[in-house]
Amino acid sequence: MSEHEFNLIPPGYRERHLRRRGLLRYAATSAAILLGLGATSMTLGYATRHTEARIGELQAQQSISDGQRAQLVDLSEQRDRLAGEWQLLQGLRGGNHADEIVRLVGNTIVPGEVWLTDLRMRRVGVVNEDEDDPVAAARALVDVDSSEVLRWSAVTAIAARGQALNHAMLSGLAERMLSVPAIDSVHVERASLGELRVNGERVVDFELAITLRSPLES
Amino acid sequence: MKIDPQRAFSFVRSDRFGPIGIELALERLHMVQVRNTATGPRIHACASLPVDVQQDALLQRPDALRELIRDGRRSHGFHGDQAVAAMPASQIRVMPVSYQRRDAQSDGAAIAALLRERLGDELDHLVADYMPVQVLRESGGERLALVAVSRREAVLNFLDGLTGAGLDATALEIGPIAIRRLVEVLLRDLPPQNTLILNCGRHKSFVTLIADNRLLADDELEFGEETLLQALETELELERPLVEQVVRDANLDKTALGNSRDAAAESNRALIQILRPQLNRLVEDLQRHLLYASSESTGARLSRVYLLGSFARWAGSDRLLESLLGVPVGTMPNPVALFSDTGFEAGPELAVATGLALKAA
Repeated sequence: MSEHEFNLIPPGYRERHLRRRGLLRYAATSAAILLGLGATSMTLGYATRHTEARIGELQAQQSISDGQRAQLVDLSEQRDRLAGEWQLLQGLRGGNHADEIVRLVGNTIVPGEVWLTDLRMRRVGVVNEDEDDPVAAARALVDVDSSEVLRWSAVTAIAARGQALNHAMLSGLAERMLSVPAIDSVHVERASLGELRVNGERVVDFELAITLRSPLES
Repeated sequence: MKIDPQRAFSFVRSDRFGPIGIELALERLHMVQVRNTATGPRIHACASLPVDVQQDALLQRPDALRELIRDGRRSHGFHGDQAVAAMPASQIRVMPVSYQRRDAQSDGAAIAALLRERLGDELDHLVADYMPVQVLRESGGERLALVAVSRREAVLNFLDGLTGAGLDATALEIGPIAIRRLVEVLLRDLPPQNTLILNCGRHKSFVTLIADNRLLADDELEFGEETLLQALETELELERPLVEQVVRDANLDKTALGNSRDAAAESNRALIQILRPQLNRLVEDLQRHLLYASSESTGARLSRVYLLGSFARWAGSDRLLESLLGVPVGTMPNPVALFSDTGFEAGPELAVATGLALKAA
């Protein structure tokens, strides 16, 4: 008699159960994977948003830093400008004495040949745009509103008006002035024959622009 | 040194663990799992859990059964999900069926045809399987089988309870088959013998008859522990708790009594006298079964009776039955103790579950 395995489980029941269990496990696994993916996605989304927010914060901080840096540069420039102005003011305050200047200029005058009718002095700050052109510097005006950092220097400028018997005597005056070490430059601003006559000859009216070395080097 | 890869990597093989044997008895759920080792099967886990619900009600509620099994699995360290269960005895009818095969017809087909002939459409509502017993007359081709039938609904509910608990039920057997498997292992080294197992319940008992490792019969007897307790209640005129106390203190072993005249011995003799009418009826049934076993087995052989269940727990019950029956009677060896190195406390009541667990996965 053949061996028979007793089993009361109805045919197909176990297969159906195993198939159903397999499907349930598949569904559960799929659900778990989807859940995991969802959770990961949410986590990554949160992390991304958090990182973006952090980047935004850092960028804001960075822009603040840029602003601060620009402000610092401005302040630095302002400090430099104020320092220059302070130096200028110090120079202007501590300039050459007027009597010395009059004496220097007066020593170059030859009585009967040339005489001064007006002598004006000014202590001014000039921008040294062209170091090789001290005359231009002497003419420059102080522009305190400029944002550029300029090199300032204090200059004693003298505007002298007078008359000479002739142009040669005026020329001699200019040469004598230039020979004085304290005088930095002499420029004839105007020279023309005037109305005044001496010995029937018309005298030369002139204007000179003189700059002195500061302080005076005598 | 030679390494046997099969043994070396046995720890990764799931088949080291047998299926979980599950028996739903009247008042308890028994679960046993064995682990196959080089020295034979060893108990891995076992549990005997009280069932608070009536068995019938439990079988109609797969969810309650599912929770019960889940609890057992969780709390006792069972491994894996394969299970071999026994359909509760109350839901099974086992009957001997003689049949003939026609032409190349299989045993199963012949029995199915016979059942269809006898039961008609009712068979559609039943689940049935058979155990071949023997060929009665070789020339005529008449054969005998034990056929077990159960209501399909009860089977499906029971299976749903098992599968709902996360188990994969690989087989659904009946108690006697599990007992036969256990006896086969227990008596492996003994000469062939006819074995009768008397499983005593509260109200009824079951006789399982095995010869040549064949299940010859599985019958229900109108004998139970209750029958004996009621007789004592009536004769002693005592309340049930007192009767139970008397039984716990008693020893029914007549040979142990000897000629002693002390009060305990006299009391035990009185108990035996009270129980004798019920026991005589039982003995007659057992003798009839043993006679049948002798007629169905070839050659002279010993017969042996094993006791299981409630009456087996009465002290000296095996010796008393042996004296009445005239063949060796013993209580079923504790299967858990036999297959375990550690001290599992559960005892002979786990015999069916152990037999189920011994089924190769």
